[in-house]
Amino acid sequence: MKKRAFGKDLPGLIQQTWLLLKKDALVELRSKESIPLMIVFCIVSLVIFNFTFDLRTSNVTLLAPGILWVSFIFSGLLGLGRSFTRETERETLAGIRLAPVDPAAIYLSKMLACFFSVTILQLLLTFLMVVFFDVNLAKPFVAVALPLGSLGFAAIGTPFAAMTMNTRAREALLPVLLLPVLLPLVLAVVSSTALAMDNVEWNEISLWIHFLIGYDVLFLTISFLGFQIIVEE
Amino acid sequence: MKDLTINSTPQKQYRPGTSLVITAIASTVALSVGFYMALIYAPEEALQGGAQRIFYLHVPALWVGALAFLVVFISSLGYLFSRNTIWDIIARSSAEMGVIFLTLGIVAGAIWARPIWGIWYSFDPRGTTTLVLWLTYVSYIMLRSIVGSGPRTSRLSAFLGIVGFINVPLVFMATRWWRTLHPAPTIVTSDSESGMPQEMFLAFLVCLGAFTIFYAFLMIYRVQLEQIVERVQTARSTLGLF
Repeated sequence: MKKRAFGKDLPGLIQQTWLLLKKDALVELRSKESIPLMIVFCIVSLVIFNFTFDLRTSNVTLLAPGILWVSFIFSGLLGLGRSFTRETERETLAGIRLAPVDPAAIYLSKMLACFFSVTILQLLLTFLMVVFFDVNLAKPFVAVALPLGSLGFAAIGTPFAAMTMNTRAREALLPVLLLPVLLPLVLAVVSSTALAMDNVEWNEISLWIHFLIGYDVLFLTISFLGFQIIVEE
Repeated sequence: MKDLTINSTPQKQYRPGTSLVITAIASTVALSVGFYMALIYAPEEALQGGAQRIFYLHVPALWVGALAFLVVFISSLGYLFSRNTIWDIIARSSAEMGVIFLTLGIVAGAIWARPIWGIWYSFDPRGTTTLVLWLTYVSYIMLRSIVGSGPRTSRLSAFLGIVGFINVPLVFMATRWWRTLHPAPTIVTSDSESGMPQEMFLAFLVCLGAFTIFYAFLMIYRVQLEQIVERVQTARSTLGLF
């Protein structure tokens, strides 16, 4: 990588982000450890949900939005933790920082890498929901709510994963720190998915969609600005 | 504390200053008056009876809990902008106080809710927001204890202190809309605040003030203690004793 000034120039930022993103994609394609792990975990949790809720409700379909998002969040947390653990295990993050790369580019690349991998997870999860629970998720508003939820998760999850990367007990610490912050997002996506499945009008669901957009913009901004504080040496 | 201060540090700031003495006396007096007013002076509530008196503990404790987290938020911002460790000391001291007072408030609320509402806890907007606030700051303390001390911990916890505080109104909004859009069994709301007799309101105000002064006292005490700890650590590392 060419040596670049530690500046905030936009073309440089985009180029650095793109290179880091390519690096992450390449590492994932070669090691195949993060996304397969999330997918298998997700399938296992769906099977468990299918049995545990089956006993008390005759119609598991009613619980589908909750099952979808709980499986998604827990599987996503698994992948999120891996993304930075990999960097610290091989001490690559220090190398990237010395290159020198703008911390903003590290944030953007990690956030986008997380967003893409959870999107793959989510596409598969939606398919599995149809297979296992026989729900109809082919609704226009579901297609709006799902990416907004993934983006919010990636936006705020990335700095938290970076926070816990060098700590003891990081696997346990990440969900403990992140889940309270994710609660509004979870409520909004579960609500909007449920409403979308019920074929409601736009004016009924718009409140939640606007909330999700606001959440995403807010936490993208905070994380973008705050990431420098976290990776600072 | 006094002995340590005089022996190790001749500096003025480490003596139990007048602010500590004044707040100690003031909070002792205010809390005694507050409890007298809450238990004896205030009239018995017609419907709820004695259980209503928990209100004089419950609301002030939660108020101080919320105030403590406002202090964490402000001092986290202060730390990030100035990088002065005093802000970090204030933030971590206030987070501890906040967790203690919120725990007190939540437990008191649950004891009140059982006879009055018939349930221990209600996941209404206020209940949920309080619980999330509590969880956020318990995880804040956990982060600090796991990462250890040092500038990295201060930075990470400042970030968490800011994000956690910004998250609170979002939780409140989301839970409120959740209930309005998904009809759920409505909870009996207490009318005690609306038609409150003057004696009750006065007792409540005194308790609120007393808890706030008590928080101020604990904060001053805790911050001074942390400063001594920092000094001892610095002295040890300069002398090569670890």
